[in-house]
Amino acid sequence: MDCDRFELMLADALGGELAPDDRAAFDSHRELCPRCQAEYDSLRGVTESLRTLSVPASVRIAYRQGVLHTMGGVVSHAESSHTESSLGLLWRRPVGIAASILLAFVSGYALHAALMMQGNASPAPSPMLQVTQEPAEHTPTLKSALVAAHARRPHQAALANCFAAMFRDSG
Amino acid sequence: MESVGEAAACDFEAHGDAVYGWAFRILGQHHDALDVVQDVFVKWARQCRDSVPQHPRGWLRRVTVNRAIDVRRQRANQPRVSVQDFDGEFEPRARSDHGADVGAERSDLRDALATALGRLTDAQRGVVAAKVFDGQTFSAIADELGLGVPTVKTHFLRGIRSLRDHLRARP
Repeated sequence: MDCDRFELMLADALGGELAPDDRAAFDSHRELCPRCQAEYDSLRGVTESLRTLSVPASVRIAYRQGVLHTMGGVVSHAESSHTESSLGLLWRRPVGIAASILLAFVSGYALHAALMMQGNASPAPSPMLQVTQEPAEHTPTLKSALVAAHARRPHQAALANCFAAMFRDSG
Repeated sequence: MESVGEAAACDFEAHGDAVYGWAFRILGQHHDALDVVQDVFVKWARQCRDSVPQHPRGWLRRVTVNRAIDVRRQRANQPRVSVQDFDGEFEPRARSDHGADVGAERSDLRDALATALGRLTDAQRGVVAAKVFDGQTFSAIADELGLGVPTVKTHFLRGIRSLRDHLRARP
């Protein structure tokens, strides 16, 4: 073995990965070449110093829960923010749309009912709803307008019943 | 499917002791090492929210070594000895950690090695830490870093030589 070959094997020798056959040749050259011997010894001293830097034999990681708690705080904050935003996006829009539709329907229905009261003769009242005949001089309220509108639109009995029940319950 | 928090906690259970060991080798102080462990795993938890590194242990090792070197630099700029560290003759003594007596001479060597490690290139430091601190084979290191084995051996040899030269140059 020559010095160039020795140099090629130096990393494996220092890293403990030299094959047994190569080890014999490597050691043999070291014994014959003072320069290579000195080079190997100085580098081996560094690796040994690094390896023997002391680490406590018993590592009591008593802070484990603290670290996990801290990690959990970092992770759960991100997860809850993500969850909140997800839920908000999930429910906010449909609820908003439903509310808008309901408000529009109620407003339109009431306006139409008010207009109808000034119009043609009223059809026969639905048997499902007891219509209270308001005195002619009584100013129509939303309640009375809705009830009256129902009287003219039997096919909307279900919705009108809901409104009537709602107003009845609220007095 | 486990949450990010659960996965991060599992990684802590798997690698926490090793991370502590790597940090302690460089810092030689129990509480400094604990701080680094916490920093590293909080960073790990955040990293896992985006993407989990392909080689978790390698990621943890690199971040731990770099963080420990940074902490060491910061400590070096602060008053290192408190009143409690003085004995009767006002001779500063190294703190003992969990019964492991870190002598002053050892502390100087650790200082020197940590400083020298900080002067290596990222590649050299990564390979040296993986080989010496973590006992990885050159093949495994090559796989982790996405390099060829000869390149890894070159980084290792150059890194060790650089450490030796730094240690020789210190007063």
